[in-house]
Amino acid sequence: MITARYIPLFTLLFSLIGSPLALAAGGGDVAGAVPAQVLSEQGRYRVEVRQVPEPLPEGEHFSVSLRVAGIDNPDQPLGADAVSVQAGMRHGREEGFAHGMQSEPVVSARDGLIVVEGLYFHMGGAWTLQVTIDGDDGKDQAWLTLPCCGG
Amino acid sequence: MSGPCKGAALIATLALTVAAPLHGADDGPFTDAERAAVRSLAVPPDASKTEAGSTELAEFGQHLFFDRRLSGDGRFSCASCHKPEQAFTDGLALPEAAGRGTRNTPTLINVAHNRWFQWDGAADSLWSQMLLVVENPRELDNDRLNLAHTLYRHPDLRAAYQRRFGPLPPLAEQERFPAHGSPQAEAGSPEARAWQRMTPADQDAVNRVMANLGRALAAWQRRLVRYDSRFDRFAAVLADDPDPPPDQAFPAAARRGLKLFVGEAQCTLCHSGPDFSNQAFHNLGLPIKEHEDTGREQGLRRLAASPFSAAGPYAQDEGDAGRLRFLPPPERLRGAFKTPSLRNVARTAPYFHDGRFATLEEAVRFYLEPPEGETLGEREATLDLIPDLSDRQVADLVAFLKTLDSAPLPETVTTPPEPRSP
Repeated sequence: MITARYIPLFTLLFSLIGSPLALAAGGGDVAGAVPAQVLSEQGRYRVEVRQVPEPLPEGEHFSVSLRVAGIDNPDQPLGADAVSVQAGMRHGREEGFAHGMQSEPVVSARDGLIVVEGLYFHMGGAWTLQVTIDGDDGKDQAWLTLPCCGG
Repeated sequence: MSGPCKGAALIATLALTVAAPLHGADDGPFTDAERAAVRSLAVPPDASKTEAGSTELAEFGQHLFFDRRLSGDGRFSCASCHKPEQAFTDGLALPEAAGRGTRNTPTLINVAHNRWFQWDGAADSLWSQMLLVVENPRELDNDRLNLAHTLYRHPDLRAAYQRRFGPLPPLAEQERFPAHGSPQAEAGSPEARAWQRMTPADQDAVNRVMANLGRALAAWQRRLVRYDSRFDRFAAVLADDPDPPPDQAFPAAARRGLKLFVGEAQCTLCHSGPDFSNQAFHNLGLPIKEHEDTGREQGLRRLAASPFSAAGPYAQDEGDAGRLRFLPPPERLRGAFKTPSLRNVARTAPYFHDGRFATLEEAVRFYLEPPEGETLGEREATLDLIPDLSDRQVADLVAFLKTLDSAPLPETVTTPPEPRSP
């Protein structure tokens, strides 16, 4: 049963190699790839991207799943009441959005993850997800770049 | 010539060679990125939205479109403003029907591919947008009870309706169904009061008549489809050849304009996809003209109040109720209007939601030299990405836009059908 013992290892290797999210682990905000995780601006929270469509669809609603937890409490993910999400395009701006989305996402919590439904990108290019967190460790914001959309 | 001078001359010659290749960069072959962008504009649209539905229903819709009895005083039909010979527009800045409209008449060609309907997206389906026109006092100025009675009163319309949708409500019972009435009528007006006095079941019966008429009109409008412009033919050639020679159908200016359109001028940020529209709403910072028009803000409020949206009781399976869950706060999109399709744009002047620009050149120049004046809402900063363009580049863009006209639709769908009776 040697083969059977190796299957989980192969599966793990395959998932690490096959997933751009895994390759991007370590964070960063690089256009052209969705970062797997980022720290909030003041370093209070870690936001991990657990599920995102690849490629992101243009002109269709889609969902992403995030895991949000305090740096000092990594095993206690935050619930939906502590997290809100907006998205927009910066078009080179350092602060704020040049424009936002034309939809209002709905945030819920499921199995320790924050599920963000109703994201809608109506223009190709780099979109920025603004995750506002208001948990036990205080208020903070995290930013993720989502490149839209294939092509 | 001394050594340094010779060197300078060589550098100057090299610089000139780089700056002025045999033909300018905008005259050269299309890059892979440009070809991919062109392909995205020429892909066939989702055919499911225009699949041939019931012929009977579409024929009835075609009759209704040309029938003046749909208006309150019998003087106007849909075709009064959506003139088939003018690409289903009227050539006016603002339409003239029962009153002077406040928004430019959009074309109906390829309308089935819209995601939202009307300039403010107040309707989320093709069938339901017709109901907004019928009861608009500036357009057909009718009310839904009078329209139902009109169907009932005229044997040809009544037979045509009942053949497709079954019996009309018992409209002869005037106590239950007054001659006029609508929930859209001005609060406190006789029409509003008459509607309020009806039972919910009778209101529902009249609303269903309206929805059915909308579906008949939509079935016909799904046939107004054309994606066969000179641009489409050029794009097909470009798919195999990155450097097709200019010809009469797609001259050098149009070719340069297309490169600008998908490149430097950034037009495809909003005018994307096979309809040259991202189907979204944008605030362009237009100065207020004749009246304050809040655009999508008003559209979202009207949509939320409509029983005919995809979330309402009259929707079947043609809508997308899911997206209504995620509508933004209306005020966020104050002063935003839907990106219009650019297909057939040369035939659909004047331009913008209030027809403020008479020519394509004026419309293009607006993006380069935004006029000053009081605006509504927040101007979208995407517009700042658009670079200055030379006069020649503007002319090239216009030359390209003129290649987006499609061939005329067949007369079988653009004229009142024969026999005259529906």
